[in-house]
Amino acid sequence: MTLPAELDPALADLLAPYAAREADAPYDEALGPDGAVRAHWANLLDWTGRAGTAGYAAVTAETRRLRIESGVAFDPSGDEISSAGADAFPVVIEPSEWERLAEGIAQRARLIEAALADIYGPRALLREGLLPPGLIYGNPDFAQWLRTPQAPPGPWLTLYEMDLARGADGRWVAISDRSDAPLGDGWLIANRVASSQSFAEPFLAGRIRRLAAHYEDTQAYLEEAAGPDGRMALLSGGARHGRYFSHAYFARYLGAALIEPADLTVRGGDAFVKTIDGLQPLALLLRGERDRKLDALFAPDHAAPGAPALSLAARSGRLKLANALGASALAYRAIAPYARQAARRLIGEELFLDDAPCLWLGDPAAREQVMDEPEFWRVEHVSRGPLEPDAPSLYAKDRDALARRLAREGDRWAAVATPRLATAPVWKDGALAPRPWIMRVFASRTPEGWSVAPGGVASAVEQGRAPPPLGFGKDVWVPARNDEEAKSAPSLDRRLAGAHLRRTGGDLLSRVADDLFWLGRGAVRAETTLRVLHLAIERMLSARDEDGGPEILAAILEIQATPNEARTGMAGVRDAVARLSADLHEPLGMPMLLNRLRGAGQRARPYLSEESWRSLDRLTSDRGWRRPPPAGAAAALLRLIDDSLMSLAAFAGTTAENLTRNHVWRFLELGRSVERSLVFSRAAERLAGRRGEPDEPWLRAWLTLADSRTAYRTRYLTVPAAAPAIDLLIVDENNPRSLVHQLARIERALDRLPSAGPRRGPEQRIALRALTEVRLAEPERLAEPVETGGERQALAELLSCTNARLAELSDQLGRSYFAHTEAPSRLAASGRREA
Amino acid sequence: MSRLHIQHVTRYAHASPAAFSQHLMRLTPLDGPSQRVLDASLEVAPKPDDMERFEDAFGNAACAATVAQPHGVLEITATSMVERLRAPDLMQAASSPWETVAAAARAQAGLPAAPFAFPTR
Repeated sequence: MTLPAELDPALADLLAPYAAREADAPYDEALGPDGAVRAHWANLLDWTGRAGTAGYAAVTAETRRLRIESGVAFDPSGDEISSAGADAFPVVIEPSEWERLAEGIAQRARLIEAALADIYGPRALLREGLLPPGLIYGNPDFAQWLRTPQAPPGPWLTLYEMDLARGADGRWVAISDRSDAPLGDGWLIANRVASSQSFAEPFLAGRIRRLAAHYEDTQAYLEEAAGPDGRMALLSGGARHGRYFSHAYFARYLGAALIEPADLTVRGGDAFVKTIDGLQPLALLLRGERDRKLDALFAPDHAAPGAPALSLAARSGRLKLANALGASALAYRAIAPYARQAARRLIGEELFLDDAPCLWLGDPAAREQVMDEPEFWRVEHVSRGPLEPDAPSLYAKDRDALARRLAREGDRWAAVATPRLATAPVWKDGALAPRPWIMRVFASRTPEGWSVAPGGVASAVEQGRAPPPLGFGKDVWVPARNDEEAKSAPSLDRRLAGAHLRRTGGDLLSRVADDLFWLGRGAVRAETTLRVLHLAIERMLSARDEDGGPEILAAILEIQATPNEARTGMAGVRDAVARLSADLHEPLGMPMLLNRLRGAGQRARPYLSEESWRSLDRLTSDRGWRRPPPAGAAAALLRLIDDSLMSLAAFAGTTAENLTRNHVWRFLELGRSVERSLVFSRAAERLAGRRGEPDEPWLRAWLTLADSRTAYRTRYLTVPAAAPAIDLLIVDENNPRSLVHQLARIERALDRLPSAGPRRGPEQRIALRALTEVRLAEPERLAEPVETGGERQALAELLSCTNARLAELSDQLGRSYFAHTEAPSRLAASGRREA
Repeated sequence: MSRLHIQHVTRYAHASPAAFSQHLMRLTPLDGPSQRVLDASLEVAPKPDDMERFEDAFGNAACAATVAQPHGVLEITATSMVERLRAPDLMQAASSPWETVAAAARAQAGLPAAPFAFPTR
């Protein structure tokens, strides 16, 4: 087939791959059967012709940059989003055709809702034989455990997505219903933000319909459902979840708190989010997890940790779920083979959208058909689709084994086939080529009923393959009709930029506070291990014998290393150095510390500045620690230690400077001070707990480790003596490297936490007690006895007392801020401080 | 006819105290053609802060409880008095083998037993 002669030559060049089309080529979105450009594509293709290959390359680069930018902002893993480079050439759909399509999409959402209400209620479809019983009762996603006489307090579906494609004959077909835990809207919006900027010229000239109005209405609906002042949260499976980007993006867009299952708790039929300000009642939960993964009490085999008894809160009606628990039963392809008859019976309508070929394999005839024409069918989980990790592969090599398996558990499986698809232009090797394509479309409830977002995320697919997971892709454009006023909807990105937090306030999630606390502790642990290693290695090399004796070195190292009785003398010292720098199982060794630090950092990343994250990233991904130099190669090891200490200092510096003094900073600070207090106390026990023979090298080691030798010298101008050293490192509040200084910081940080009221809480009392005990101690008494070799009793007692208080404090912090074992704040607002 | 007094004790001892726990219990016998429950009680120690009794999808008397105070030991005691009635020999004798009954239930969605005739996972 040739392209029409009147086509602009530059455009004809770009469309060259089209010239190779066969006469019976499938329907194409952009070009008609005669090769002429369809009217609604003229704007985009004219622009592309003018831009040419070089101009379009610049647009591609810009799109990619914008996508990566939004990925960086929302994806805590810091990895580049894999779909960032996906083809971005938009697909344009004619406005009146889109309107019919949107009706079909909304009709499908209504059908699935009606069918859910029926299978969990009167079961007319089952009783009248319109759905086979095995499809529902044999489906592991049919939430029998949820079945209650009454319907859910809200609608069954609030959000609905579907995969939609055009067949080669030009008719639209439904590929799959994504009605269980949709929330892919983040991709749609982020994709639109990128495409409307990089394709700004044709986007504006084409008067493309905006998404903003649809999402304004969606939000209005959600806020009404949540009720006045009701909290709204979006539940994500966490940062490792493939859909996390969309969850984070959409939550920010809606102004909903982004939470994980562990942030939820149910008490007395109410759902709460655990924040450092206590338990906050939750009114509406957008769930991005399948329903079986949500309730650890009722579905213990499948649920992620946390949120037990969520279904009790849903049943009580005081928590609204979007979508309702139980909706998974009819997701993906479950209703497809019976959709037409179900629609006639339940909503009294003929379906506008046909279903792609699909057979339910609980039916013996369907199983036979699939075994007879295996090349035509793919076997997928009937309600979960092809990508669920728990769907075992059914592509057995052994046909008999497959047949036996399907006979046994056919109820759960569907055979699906993608029909021959229409094509759309895809940018490939500097030209536009016709490729089969499909799109994901997004619908939601609004105060006026179901609304479909004018657009979608499209991608090229290989004929016969399952659609790729949702990500960045081709933006779907719907131009305004000629008679339509171009609405000046608020732009999407302006909304994102603004502070849009009216529903969540400044809640700091308990889980995040916990992560920040441990991030602070982890950073100090790593710093201590590094300092201990540094000092020990330096002393091993040192000329002065009394400074480098194995006894002192072992004591220094044992501040962090687990004691090893089997090795003594220098062998023991070398062993401890090796363990602290390379042993994967040493609790305070570098490999384990860096690993944990990275985990805590990744989880807390949304709360850290970019600079802080980068210094943490540099430290924790340093290849040097994967195979550290042996203790023999002292210089190389010292260099690695110095590098890491620099990164840690940069991390500490950037967090101190860049984090405003809010609760985020306070928990980080609290973690640091608690760990430092513990370390200072351990160092004092190991290096000053006994009067050495002679005492000076021990005290010198202690002062050096605390980075306080200069301070000591300027003050006392003498060789180290016990009482002044103890004064400086234990009870001198002006020395930041003293135990008392760290305890005072803990007390100050606690005073500024949200629960601090006029009366001291339990954790504040513990901190004050520890601080006061150290404040009141007398250095001279702590330095006793005067005889050499004697244990310093008073010092030992003080330190063990401090350690016990710090352990108690850590537990109490867990109870007050992280685990929330006491009654919800709403119920016991005044009683919380009584204990 | 006989009366059975049943006491069922479940005891959890934690190595370190649990700060908070939630439990789902199905420990109450059911009324039926062969028995009548005269009296049933469920005690949880320490005393739960919240206890909800409800009938689950299978018709069991279920109870969800929350203990929101640190506890090293949790003890659940279910006590009941059940009157055994004469066994319904006739009904059982007249019944087809269970495989036949299950197949019939799978085929007839209207039967109350239908939802339970399929394998669960």
